[in-house]
Amino acid sequence: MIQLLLIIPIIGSLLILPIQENSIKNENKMKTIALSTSLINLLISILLWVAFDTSTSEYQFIYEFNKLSFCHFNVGIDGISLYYVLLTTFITPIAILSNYKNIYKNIKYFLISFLILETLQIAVFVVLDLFLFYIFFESVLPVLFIIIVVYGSGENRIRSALLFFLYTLAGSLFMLLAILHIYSNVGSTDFQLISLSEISLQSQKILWLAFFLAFAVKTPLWPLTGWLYRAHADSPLAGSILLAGTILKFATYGYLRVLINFLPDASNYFGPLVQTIAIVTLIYSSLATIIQQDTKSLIAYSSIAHMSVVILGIFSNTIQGIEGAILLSLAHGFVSPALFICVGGVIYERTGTRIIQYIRGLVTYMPVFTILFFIFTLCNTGIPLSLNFLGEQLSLIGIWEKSPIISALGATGIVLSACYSVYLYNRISYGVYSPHLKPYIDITRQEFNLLIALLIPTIVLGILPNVILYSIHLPVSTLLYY
Amino acid sequence: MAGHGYTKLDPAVERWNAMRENAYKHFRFTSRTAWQSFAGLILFPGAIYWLSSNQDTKWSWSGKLKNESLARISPPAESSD
Repeated sequence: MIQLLLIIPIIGSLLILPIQENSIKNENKMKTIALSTSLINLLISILLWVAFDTSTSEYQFIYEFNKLSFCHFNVGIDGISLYYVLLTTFITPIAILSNYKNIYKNIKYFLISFLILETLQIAVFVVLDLFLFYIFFESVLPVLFIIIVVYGSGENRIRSALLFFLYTLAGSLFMLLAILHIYSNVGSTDFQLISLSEISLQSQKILWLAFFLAFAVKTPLWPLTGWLYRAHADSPLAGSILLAGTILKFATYGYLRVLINFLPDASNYFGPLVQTIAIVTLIYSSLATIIQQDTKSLIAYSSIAHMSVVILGIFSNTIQGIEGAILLSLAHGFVSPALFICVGGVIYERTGTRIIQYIRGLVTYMPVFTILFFIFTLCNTGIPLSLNFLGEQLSLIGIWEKSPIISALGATGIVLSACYSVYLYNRISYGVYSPHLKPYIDITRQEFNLLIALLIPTIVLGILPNVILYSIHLPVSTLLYY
Repeated sequence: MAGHGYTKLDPAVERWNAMRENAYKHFRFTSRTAWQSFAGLILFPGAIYWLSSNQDTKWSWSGKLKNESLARISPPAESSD
């Protein structure tokens, strides 16, 4: 079943490839194929979720590919990767729909890129081999580079794409060296074999630093945050949605699967360092968020702050901390794309600008939009009834067990996130209607459906988190205590 | 792709944002920026690291009773003689 998740987007892109981009009918056909492919993938992942056995922490739906002599790999999912796969298959059709009507050139390659990206993203979460994890971790870079350069906006999009590419590549080189070291010592890069092997504390420390550098760039953590807000600001809307929704979760998954699982002693040893970096990232990025003038950059910086709380939860060495981190990363995967649709889709499509100074009084002509934007702003802040609240609270409760003062400092992020969220919402929604703008229509039915599709899981899972917690409890317990 | 909407641009706003975007190109070390850099890059992270390494796994709040120490490793009981 997992192999279907990997193959179906490729089949969709092969179906789109021969279609000529010479008429509106063909363009609609391509869009329909891409959307249908991603929805079929979503359906399969939901079937996987329904069939998933929550009473075991073992990998399930394992598929071994060994038909070719030079290529042999296993794929499978456990409770942790299941939800990241679900998130990926959920966010991909949302991303395709967000740019459904406003990409006019090279639509074919735009859609093919996103379908290939879907396969690569799912592969990151389902492979059971460290080297393959590295390959797919890196493989999204060229595709995203092309998406930002060709379909992005802004004069500096080439610089932004280069920064994104080079930052991640440079960090990942250390991860490659670490993987080669593990292979030379263990004799394999299979997850299960590595988790059974004993690595000395001295080796663990060096390997940990190498992996941490790669994941810290992807998260991103201070002082390696320079690429994110630029990549988000200059990327097309669908690219921003994927970046915020799933690409940042590669790092979260990497921390859990590699650092906590394979290098537990070093993770414990470097706990204070991680706490320091996370707190500094949280405070610095939150303060930087408050002074942003570009709405997309503001949402991007707020992503950095939320991911730092996720890191605090992961390295808390408690079940509730890790479960909270997973919940918060999933919640961030719903809310951040929604905010990008609000500012980068709804507002930007109508006004042609993302500069906060030009936008004021939107409630006058777009009341439905401001209601939805308000709800997502509150969710971003971590208001109760949202999944963000549960994730943030559990993460902070988890790190409280380790270090109450770090947890208290982490809680300042809640206050700061309220500052920039309320500032953004208040500034662009209320007051006298901006003289720089003309009246616009409220959100369309398509935009409304997109936002509601993201709101429903945020609120429903915020009220019923056990839907997720039942599945992840056993694998998280195994991660910590096995 | 650029948005397709209409915004009446204000040259003052454009100049302000261009200044903000390109501020990093004009950075140079003065006494003020040197102090800010030191505080932001070394002092504050150093203080947080000192705090986190000092306080890491030092306290435990779980299952504590009245008059019981919050320290993770409880101090030895006083002898009664």
